[in-house]
Amino acid sequence: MLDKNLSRRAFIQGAAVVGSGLTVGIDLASGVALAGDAPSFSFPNPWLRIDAKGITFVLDKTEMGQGVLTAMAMIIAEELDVDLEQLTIETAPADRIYGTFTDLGVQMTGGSSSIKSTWHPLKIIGATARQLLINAAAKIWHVEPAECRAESAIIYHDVSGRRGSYASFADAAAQLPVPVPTFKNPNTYRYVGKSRNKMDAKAHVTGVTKYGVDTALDKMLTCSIVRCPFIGGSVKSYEDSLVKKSPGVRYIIKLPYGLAVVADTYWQAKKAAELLTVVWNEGELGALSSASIRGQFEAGAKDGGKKIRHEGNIPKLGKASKEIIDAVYETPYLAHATMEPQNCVASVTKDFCEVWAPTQTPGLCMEVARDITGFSTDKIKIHTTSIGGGFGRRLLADFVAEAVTIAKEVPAPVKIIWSREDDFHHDFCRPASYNLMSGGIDKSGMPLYWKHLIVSPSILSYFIPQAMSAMMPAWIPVCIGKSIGGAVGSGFHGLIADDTATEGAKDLTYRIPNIQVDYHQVDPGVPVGFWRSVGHSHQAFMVESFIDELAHLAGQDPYKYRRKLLAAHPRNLAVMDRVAAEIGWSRAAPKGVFRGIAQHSSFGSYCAQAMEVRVDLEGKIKILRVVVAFDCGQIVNPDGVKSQIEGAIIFGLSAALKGEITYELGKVQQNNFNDYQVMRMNETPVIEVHIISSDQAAGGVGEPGVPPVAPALANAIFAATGIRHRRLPMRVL
Amino acid sequence: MITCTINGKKLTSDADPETPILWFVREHAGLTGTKYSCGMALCGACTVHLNGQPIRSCVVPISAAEGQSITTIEGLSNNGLSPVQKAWIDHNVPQCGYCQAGQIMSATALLASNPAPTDEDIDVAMSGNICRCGTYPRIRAAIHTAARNMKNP
Repeated sequence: MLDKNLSRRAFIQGAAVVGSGLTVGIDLASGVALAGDAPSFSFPNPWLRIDAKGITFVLDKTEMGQGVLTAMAMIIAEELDVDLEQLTIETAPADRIYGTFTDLGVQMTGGSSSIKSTWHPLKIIGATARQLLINAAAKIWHVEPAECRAESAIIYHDVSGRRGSYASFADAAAQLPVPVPTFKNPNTYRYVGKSRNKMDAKAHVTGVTKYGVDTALDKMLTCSIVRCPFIGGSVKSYEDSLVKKSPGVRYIIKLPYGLAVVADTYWQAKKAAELLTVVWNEGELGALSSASIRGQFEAGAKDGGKKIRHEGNIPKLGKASKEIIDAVYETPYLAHATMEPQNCVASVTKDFCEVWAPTQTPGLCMEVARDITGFSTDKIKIHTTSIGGGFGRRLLADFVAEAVTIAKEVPAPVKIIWSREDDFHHDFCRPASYNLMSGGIDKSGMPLYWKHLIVSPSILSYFIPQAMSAMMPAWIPVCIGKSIGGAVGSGFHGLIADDTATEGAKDLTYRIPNIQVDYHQVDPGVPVGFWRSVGHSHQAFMVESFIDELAHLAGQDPYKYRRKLLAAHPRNLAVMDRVAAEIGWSRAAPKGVFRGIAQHSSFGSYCAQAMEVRVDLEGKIKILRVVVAFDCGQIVNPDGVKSQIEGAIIFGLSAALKGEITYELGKVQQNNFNDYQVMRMNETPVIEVHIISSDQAAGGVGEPGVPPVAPALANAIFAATGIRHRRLPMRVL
Repeated sequence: MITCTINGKKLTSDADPETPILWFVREHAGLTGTKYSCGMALCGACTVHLNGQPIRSCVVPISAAEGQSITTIEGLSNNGLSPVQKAWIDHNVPQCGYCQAGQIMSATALLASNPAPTDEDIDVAMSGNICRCGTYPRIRAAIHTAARNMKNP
């Protein structure tokens, strides 16, 4: 989407205020050059500012551990010809212009899209700024620009021995026409493609990094919320006399779904909140259980689904096949369990609202604050903080809405902190799915048909109503944006197939003559949301396990079987060949060691994984080794990519082996890390990551490592035990 | 009144003696490097040292620290970086970084009592610290590096 617009892009530079330096941005929205009041807020999309204070890179993405701060700074530093250390990183405010760089048009960090979408714009900005500064120096020195060169934020005219800093030419550069940028030859790159430690690593290891929960403001109060344990339930009545007498308590605020206890400190609020007696309305989902949800899925499966991908002809192929498999595959609801529980600070005065949020979607936070306060966007400021894990949870702005709602009632800034229990009970979970798979093979053992019916809730029907205002033009009142959003959201129920439920299944890469993928949206009412790798996180499990089943049905090697079906997908094939070579697939595994393999492409990248497992005397599985081959096209920071893949393996193993949110009598049954377990140090296998270098366009990095984990493990366990796990989590540790 | 020493500085406070050390250091001492994550000693994000011993500060009341010495991530090194912090940077360990103060405090305590830990020793000492970003392999490598560097500074 971005590439085809590149030619229309116009550069904007601003210097309306003399002496304010050079600000360079890129206008994707209108394609028309605009002059801005550099470096003020009104400047459209400023990404780079050079003035007497130094060289400032404005980061519009949220750094949540994925390394985007470092990678984006590396791209700018590369083309601008400055040292990374010379860049000051500033977090961008919430501004609609930054939404231009995302698929949904909302300022957000998600979908493994940051480098994919900013690689070209950042290069253009860096190279344009460099050329502008060189042109300015040349003009002042009365020499040709071609005789000048830039290095480490200094421009040199070697012939005359003259030199000057970028800052000294910034004002002059701001007055010049925008040149067509000339990019550096990749062979001369100093940063791009070379491993670099994270620029924020030192702050992280010294405790200096300020996450949302660390926000501290003068006179700030802190809030603990007693929430209705029933999904969708509400407060019926409550008794708070003891709470009011508790030390430090300032306010008790009734919310539809709970009570907010506001005190001087969190501990006072938390302790006082325990003294509340609340009677709850169970709401409509009071009888909901995991068993009833499964019943709804089973019933939905009986009705079939909407056509997603049909090729060839499925009817009667069961009879034509030499052998067939019919199987039910299931995946559970999953929590995000970010290490930093949800939290937010908000201050609402009579005419201004400020929010400090650990968020992946500043654009959405702005709309939520606008909706609740009724203020125009110039009366709202969103501060994006560092965030202690996102994984998709912080794409939603529910905690921001909560903080602003409470802050409206309190004449001081208020910090809300969710307890870990709140975090598990009130997450927007990765949707569960129920899948009917059917496949048949012909006489040669190759697949004759592939049939896959997905039954699952829709994420977008929850997200779109929240996000709609942020996607609308700013002049549309929030209430209208929301009602349109609601209509679109409810429209997803049965009318439009939700890509996030079928991705990974509908784009099956194997060459099979008859394919039928259908989707039936069944929504039990549990809030669902984006979870690292979204639909791929579950659909890769079905697809890569089931192709393994067909390979075994055919009595063929699962790696070689896949190879025969992947001729049309050379990058999928290449990662699989690489991983097979690295794990030594062609050689027998050591005695007692068994292997599984899987490959999956998502977010524009390609990942194959092979695992080695052992079974102990009690039948427990020990994962010995995970080998990964990964192709994400253009790479900015190789070690950053490697660390994301390592993390994705562990994240994926937690889900494959342990993760499951269950419901009983309308409540989430998991409370904390004792009953929602995740991988720990002692369970972590050896992980080897092999990156395939490529000159293809940049693909995603944060998510594509997750999908192959569960099927590679399930396939290894099948090889070891003969047991085919068709339901996650596999409780085999 | 509670009197204790935090990172070498004596502090007196009228805070509720039941206040967990976690919230005392964050809200009374203003040291936010120590993190809340589970509140039940299940994840290790809040790990600090009480007289050099690692504790889960979310479940230990400040009354237990009366007259005692608490060390947080901010007090780990007086000048620059400790060997453990340095190894963490050299191995590019942190991703989101939220759990890393707790990880580093646990690792520092391990190395103080066991200057050459094996992988099994690391498993025992570090399995109480959760990292959702999945930095465990790098934490393991960084601990081995820190052990080597402390032996041969």
